Amino acid sequence: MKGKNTKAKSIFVFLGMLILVAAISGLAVLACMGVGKEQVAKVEVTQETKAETEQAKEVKDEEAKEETTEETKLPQIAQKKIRLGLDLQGGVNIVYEPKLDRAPTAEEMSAARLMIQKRLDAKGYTEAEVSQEGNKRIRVDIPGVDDPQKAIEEIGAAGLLRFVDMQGNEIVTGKNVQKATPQAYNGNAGTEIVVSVEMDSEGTKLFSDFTKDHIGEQIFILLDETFLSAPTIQAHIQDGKGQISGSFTIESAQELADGINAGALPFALEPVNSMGIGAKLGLDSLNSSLIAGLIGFILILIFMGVMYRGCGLAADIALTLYIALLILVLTAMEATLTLPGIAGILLSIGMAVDANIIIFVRIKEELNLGRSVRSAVDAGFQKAFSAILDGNVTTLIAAVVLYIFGTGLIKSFATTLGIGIVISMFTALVVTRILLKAFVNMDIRKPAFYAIVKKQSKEA
Amino acid sequence: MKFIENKNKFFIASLVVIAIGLLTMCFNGFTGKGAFEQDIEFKGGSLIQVNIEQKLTGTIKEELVELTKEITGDANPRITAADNTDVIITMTRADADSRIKLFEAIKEKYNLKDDQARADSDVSPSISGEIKLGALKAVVLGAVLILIYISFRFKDFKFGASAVIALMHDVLIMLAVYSVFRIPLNNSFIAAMLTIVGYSINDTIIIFDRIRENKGKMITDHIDIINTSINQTLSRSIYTSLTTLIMIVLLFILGADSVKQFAFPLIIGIVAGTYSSIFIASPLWYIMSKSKKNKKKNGKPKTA
Repeated sequence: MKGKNTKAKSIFVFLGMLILVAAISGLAVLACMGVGKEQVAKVEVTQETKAETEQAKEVKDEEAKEETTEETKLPQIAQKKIRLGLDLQGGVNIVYEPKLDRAPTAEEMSAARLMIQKRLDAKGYTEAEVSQEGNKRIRVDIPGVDDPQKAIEEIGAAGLLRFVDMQGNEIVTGKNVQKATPQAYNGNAGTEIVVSVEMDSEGTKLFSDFTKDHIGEQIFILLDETFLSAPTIQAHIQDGKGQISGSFTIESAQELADGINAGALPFALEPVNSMGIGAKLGLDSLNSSLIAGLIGFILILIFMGVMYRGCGLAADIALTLYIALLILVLTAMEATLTLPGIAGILLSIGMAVDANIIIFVRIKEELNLGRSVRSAVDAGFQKAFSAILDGNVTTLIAAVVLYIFGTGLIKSFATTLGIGIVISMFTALVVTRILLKAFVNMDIRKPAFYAIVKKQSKEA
Repeated sequence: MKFIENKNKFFIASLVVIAIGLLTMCFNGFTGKGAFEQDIEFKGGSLIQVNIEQKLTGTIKEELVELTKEITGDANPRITAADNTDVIITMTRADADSRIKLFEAIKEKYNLKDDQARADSDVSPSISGEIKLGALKAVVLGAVLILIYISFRFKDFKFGASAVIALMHDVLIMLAVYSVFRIPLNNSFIAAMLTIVGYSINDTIIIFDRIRENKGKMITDHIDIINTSINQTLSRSIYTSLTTLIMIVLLFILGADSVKQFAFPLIIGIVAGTYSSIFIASPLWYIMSKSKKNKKKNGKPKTA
């Protein structure tokens, strides 16, 4: 009676496991479909607008169109996606450093960031991200750019602030402007918010000369080609302290002051590192790596099945779950996948397979010693544990150190490797074990099912 | 198999490969080619990648060198073929303007369809210095922490020390490969190195784990224990290397050019890592523990 019970239960466990793995894999496939989708679609569409001669390409475009319509139907998995690094989806990355002998202050850095942001907005790079790296670097990432050289060129040089007259003649430039601040001003019409602008000595003189003869005229304040403000000159400004009034709110006054300050950086920004990869090139790298990974993974599944039979089957299920979990975790973290990141995944697949092989070798040894299947499976896991733990912990140490010290691509490698190792330990030690135990309890007791044994052990 | 008895042969085989690598480095270093080919991530500089819609020939190479020299002033640009009909032109630092000019000139000369370069990159030497320093720090600190962990887990410093030496062996072999085949050092070089370090240390530990276990239950000398342990783990070592190699060889065959550049050293590295775990790490541990035991017991050393 009891035996039958455990058998039924273990079949239940096995089937439950299969369903779980299938469900998680399904989720992972959905998550995968979202990866880099927008960029892929965009690239194909821009290609389409060009004159296409080759038929093959047209077919590809149609496929892409179908895929895009499909995407809208797909359930959005919590809106999260694995993002693709610039090396895989194409794009531009530029790192700027101020040309300065001293360390820049925090305010100067945020003004510089703002300047770059404004410049990107003006040029229409809406997807660009600007971030500060360390205390003296500004990093700009623009994903999915078609023409990397043009993008680098366009946002390459430092921003330029200009005050021009109605004929377009330059009055003063950013280097003459010291700072702009929003202020409350008590005038005739009660308290109003103004933006006060301070000039340096050269600017004071230029501005004084100009305002003397041009009262009542407008001047235009431009950052690059972006229009910031067009105040009318009310008086002859001799001390270099102008006030721009208008119906400002606190926010709009601050915004104008920020814009002026951004263009009035006391230093130039120098691009120290720029990398641009055309979207097409990035996609080639991604696709070829994914195809290689997929074929490799299938070969490994076959290899395990052939070499380790029943154990191999359990391992194959566990490995599938491993891949699916890895994809889901990376999606949940919104990790950025790069080529080194794919390398990290490959290495961790290797480690996941390895953990299974270590266990099976042990089980085989125990079977060869003539142990029963049940005790061989238990002993196999028990003896394999220390080797798997130590091997994985040392690799994990390496991954953590790399994560701390590495930059960009190296960090990406460390991330996928580290996460991969933790998940691989879980799937090998827990999932494979549950499956093998289920086999044992399902009364599959022939050693030959578990390993290619030399001597047939007596007990079934 | 008698691993310990033949250890000197294995050591010599490794030393020969490492020596070839070192000699190549010295030779290339002194003849001015540089010990390694270096990409701009490592030495600073600029590059553009262009689809020239035809295979790169010697004549085209010369023409491209001329064009680059004319526009950027770099007398010594490096022209390499990449995927399909792409070429990569690596030069000393050139500003964005002249890189675009260079592309336009190439486009005109070869009547290209593309309106833009496929890739464009520029790295200042200060950044490349930081990348190198960061990688070096990571490797050294990583090795030290691994040494500490293994010494602690195996309650024996000698295990840690031999594992780390085996690791250095793999790094040297990899360097030899990069030097001999003139594979440029870049970010994927760092990733490849790290992959091999991670892989090899794992491999070594599996064998050490067996030695640790057998040491507890076998009443025999170290030679016997080590040989038995290696033999017991041999099928695992081979199968694991095989499955990993399946993946990487496929990457090498199917991958884009940048992936190929990463996969090739990995193939060699996996083989070197497996080799060092079996033929280098354990014999090293044997030598270390033998010399210590001799001092303690003052016994006759075993013939090796």
